[in-house]
Amino acid sequence: MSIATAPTSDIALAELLADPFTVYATMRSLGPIVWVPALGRYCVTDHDQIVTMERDSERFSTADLSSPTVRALGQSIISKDGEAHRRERASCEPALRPKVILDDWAPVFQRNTDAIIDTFVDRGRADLAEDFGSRLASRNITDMLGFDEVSDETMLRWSRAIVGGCGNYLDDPDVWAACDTARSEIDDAVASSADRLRSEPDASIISAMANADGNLSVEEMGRNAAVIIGGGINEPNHAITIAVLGLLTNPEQRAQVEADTSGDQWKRVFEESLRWIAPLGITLRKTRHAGEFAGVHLDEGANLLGMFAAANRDPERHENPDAFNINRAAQPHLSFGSGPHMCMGVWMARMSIGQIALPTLFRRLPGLRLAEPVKVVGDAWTDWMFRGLRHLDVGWETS
Amino acid sequence: MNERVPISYLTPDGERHAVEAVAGDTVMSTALANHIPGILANCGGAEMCATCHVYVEQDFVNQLPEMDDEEDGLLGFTASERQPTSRLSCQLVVTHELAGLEVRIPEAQV
Repeated sequence: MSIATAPTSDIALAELLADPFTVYATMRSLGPIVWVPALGRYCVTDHDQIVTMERDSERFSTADLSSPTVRALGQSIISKDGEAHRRERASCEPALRPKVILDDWAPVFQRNTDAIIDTFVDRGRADLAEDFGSRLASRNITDMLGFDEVSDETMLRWSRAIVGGCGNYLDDPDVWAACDTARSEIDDAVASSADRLRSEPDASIISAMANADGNLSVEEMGRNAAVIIGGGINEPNHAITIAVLGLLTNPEQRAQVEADTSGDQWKRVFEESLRWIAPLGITLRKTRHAGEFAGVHLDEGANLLGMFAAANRDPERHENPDAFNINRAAQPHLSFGSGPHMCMGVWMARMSIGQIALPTLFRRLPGLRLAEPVKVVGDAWTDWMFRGLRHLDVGWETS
Repeated sequence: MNERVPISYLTPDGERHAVEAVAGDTVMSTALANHIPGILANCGGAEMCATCHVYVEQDFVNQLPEMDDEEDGLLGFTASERQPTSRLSCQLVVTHELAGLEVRIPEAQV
């Protein structure tokens, strides 16, 4: 008996950009895996199949050496598998475990959050993406990495240059130049911090890498710092705008959260926001050999996208999935991925955003409201892979 | 090699799932291989997620591998309440001494 080939979805890239969630629903209706010529890739939209794919690095590799991600970052922690991956990942993990985040980093995140709110609290209005989310994420990552002195502006420039490089499928030389400059500056900053942190270890990520048993080279540390700067600023900023939008457009849920003093409701807000609109929509894999997956045949070297954002809206898993609802039955979402490459910053994100940034914003900005209506699709949003609001203009009462 | 060890999982709905584990595997990976509901193991055993939480039957608590600092720290962040018998099943390697082990799966992992 021959195995079926995957169904084809003839969606256009423009449709995906304009209204991704409608396109995801179309893909899901065709089956757990579809071939999408517009992307030149198979798209996996089923939660369980994505988990299976992410767990099985014997069959599915992250090391697509021809991808812009590897051109941008070199072969970093996100493009290695097995023991090579494990060694580098284990060197970072001591700085990112939840107890360290709670004991060592929560006070830093709170201080950074308050300092940034101080700069605009009297104004009565702000753009929460530009004025708050991106700056807070920059500052938190600067501190957690263990950099000596890097301005928010520099961190943002580095982050955008790296994200731009990872998505540079058009091979734009200016994008590569900006990315290469950022990489080289990051390497210098990492080398300088690592020197200091070898003699004065602390709770930071560079300290953990520089003092790990595995003896990471400066090049390895630099690549991993670049991954963290690329992912650790964009996505937290987007998570903040998504969560604030969810609460401000659902007043009864907002009232429920603001009445809570335990912090439990904020946990729900955070997880539901990420389920609703995944800031990182996809993960990349490549088959190591031919075989069957999700009921279809895949050749060796087939490129796959695990579609987190699509799986998170599957009505078979999440009732009325398009609605923002913090009271839905708790179900795992895929916005942090799963398996060996699951987001290392998961506890940092939960703490710095879910337990600190969001509650502090709503407490310190009384009567927080949207300055103008925001649509859930359209130009206000960045692309489908890295999704968030470009701007989120809000107002509040000042005394 | 590949010695089979009977262990069982008690799911929150009261159902008992008896399986033949392979010595050397973990209680977490055995649950995944046997499609036991309620063990999510999001991070795949890296001690980063706390979604493979189990309560170990009292008789076996002292026969388990010792808890390291990472596991102890992570057990403070489980979705269901930590109890004295709480463990992360990714850290429980099956040995023949654990024949008859029963673990209870908590109500929630997320």
